[in-house]
Amino acid sequence: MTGAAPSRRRLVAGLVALTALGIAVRTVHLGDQPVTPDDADVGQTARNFVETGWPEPTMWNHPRLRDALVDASLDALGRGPWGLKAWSVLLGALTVPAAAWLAFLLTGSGGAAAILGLLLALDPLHVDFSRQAINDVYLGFFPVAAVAAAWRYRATRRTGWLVLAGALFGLGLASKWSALLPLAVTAAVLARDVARTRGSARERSAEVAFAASCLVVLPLAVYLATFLPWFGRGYGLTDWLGFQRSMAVETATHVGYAGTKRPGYAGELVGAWRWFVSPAWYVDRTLAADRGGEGAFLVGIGNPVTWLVVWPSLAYAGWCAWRRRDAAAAILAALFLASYLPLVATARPIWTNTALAVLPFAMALVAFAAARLGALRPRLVGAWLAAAVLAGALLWFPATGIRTAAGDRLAHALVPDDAFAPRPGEAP
Amino acid sequence: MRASNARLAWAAGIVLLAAAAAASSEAVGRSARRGFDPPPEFGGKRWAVVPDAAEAVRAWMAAGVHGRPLVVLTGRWGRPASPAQPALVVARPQSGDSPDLLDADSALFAAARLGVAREMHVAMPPAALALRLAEARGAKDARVGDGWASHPYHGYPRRFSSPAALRAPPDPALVLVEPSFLEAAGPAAIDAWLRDRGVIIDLGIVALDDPAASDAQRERARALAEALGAVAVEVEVER
Repeated sequence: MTGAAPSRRRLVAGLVALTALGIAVRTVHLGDQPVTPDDADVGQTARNFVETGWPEPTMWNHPRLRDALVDASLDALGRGPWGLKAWSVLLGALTVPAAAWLAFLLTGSGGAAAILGLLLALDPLHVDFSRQAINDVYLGFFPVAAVAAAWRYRATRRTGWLVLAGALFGLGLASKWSALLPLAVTAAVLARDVARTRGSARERSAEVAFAASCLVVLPLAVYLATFLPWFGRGYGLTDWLGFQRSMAVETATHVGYAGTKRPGYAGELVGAWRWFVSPAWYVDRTLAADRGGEGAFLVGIGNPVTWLVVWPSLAYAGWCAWRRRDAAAAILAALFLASYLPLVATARPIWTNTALAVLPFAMALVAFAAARLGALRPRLVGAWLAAAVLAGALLWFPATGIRTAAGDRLAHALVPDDAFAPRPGEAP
Repeated sequence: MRASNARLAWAAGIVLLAAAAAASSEAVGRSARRGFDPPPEFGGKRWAVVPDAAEAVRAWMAAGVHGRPLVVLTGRWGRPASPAQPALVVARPQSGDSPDLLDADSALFAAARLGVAREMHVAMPPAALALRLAEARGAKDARVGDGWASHPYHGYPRRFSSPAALRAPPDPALVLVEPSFLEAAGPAAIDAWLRDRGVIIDLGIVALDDPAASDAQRERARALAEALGAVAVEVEVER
């Protein structure tokens, strides 16, 4: 935890161990976890979209990568929980090494990378959405891996890294448009690099053309390709632009799908500003709820021990960036603020599932601050980390629908009772 | 210099890839538009007659048409709206939408979902249109004009209008005429009227019944089918 650069072998071993932990907590009991109405709708939408280009019954206004992936996993793994959720499990687990690698690239600190990997591997909200078919957890992986690849390009100047970054950003955009935010930060950093380059005009022009093709043209091409089944309904590019416009209008004004909300969003946590100042949670009622008992609810709760120190960590990173001219701290703060503040400023309701796109950057700030503080106060940071692991372990149970006395008690202490009341269309 | 050349080559390659993706998308869309190839029994005609809208969709599917604009002339739309929750503009299936489970209420939804139709233009008589426009005024996805409402959501554009405000689709269209559309207007004029509006008919179908039709309207539908020389078709459904 001292922040000293570890050997390559130790770094790889650490990433492998953290990934194994991430996979384990995302897969244990998965086959027995009851599915949610969203899970079922995601499967049906994937089939509809791939077979006929029809983006329903759920989330027509979001990009379509999930449909291609889930359709393929349904073919490969069958129509059960694994077929529906395999990609969420995989990409959720891969977020752990991707974020840890990014933290290492930015800070050079093995301690920060290890802490970040551990926090993400065990975060109950991240675990919850890694075990569901909806694709919010994709946003934890693709943009993070893309930023890491772009940073490798900055360090090595090898073109393949930026091409990879562009492809990953494209897959992120094809998951949800919020991938644009870290893409914008990355583009701004590369633009600054070009502005500081001392090369000839030709060299600078080549760099601009290459960066623009990787960070603008390639993501757009990947994004467009995921709509191919929709084009197969007979549409052209002009129609597609109209479709994108209506998707944008709905996404900008979205207030929940018809008939699924109670007045005033009772029983739901709405508002991105709440995420890091009070307990953040998302409760899903499963299809097993009608039968009562085990697995009626999946209660994903952001680990309060780590989420509630995001703002102090940001303040510390800001101080490092300002007073010490610490570039890593500045970039970490920029990635977090660029991903988060637009969601805070959005007028329409934002639900906690959207936090998955911000979480790796928020936890990166926390890990950065913890690693630095750990060098000065190792016992204090060790105790905090132990508390975070304990809270993550206890809250794993409600996130997976398993009833335990301690997990239930903690969940009910953090989540208001009306979150467990039925919503319109659900059995009481 | 070599590094710059490599970067320019990458940039050119990526731009070419993107252009290929765009061209492929357009090509996939165009090649998915499949029109009606009239069999000899049609004698060159492009009108058929079936019992109801469900049979119409089955007939289009059996004919292999796909990705077509759909023009619907009808006096009804979906289920009645409740004040708390306006009816969705895309009619929900009442009894499933696989071809062997269609009914007259679910048929147009199935035509959309299965890709038979890629956009829909619905012309309605004044009373039915007034109801439709009243519902559209409360819906956030609707643009409402003088005698029309358009709904671009769900990646499936729909437009409802008076007959006078019917907008001709850009390429040959499937046409469905339901009896509830047939008020006092002379039925034999419909074919010519559609052509005057700029609608190119790929395969038109007259339905002899719909849930909102009166006996007099059913009789007019029969007369319309006769006047158009519509070919009676029946699609065998495996049950």
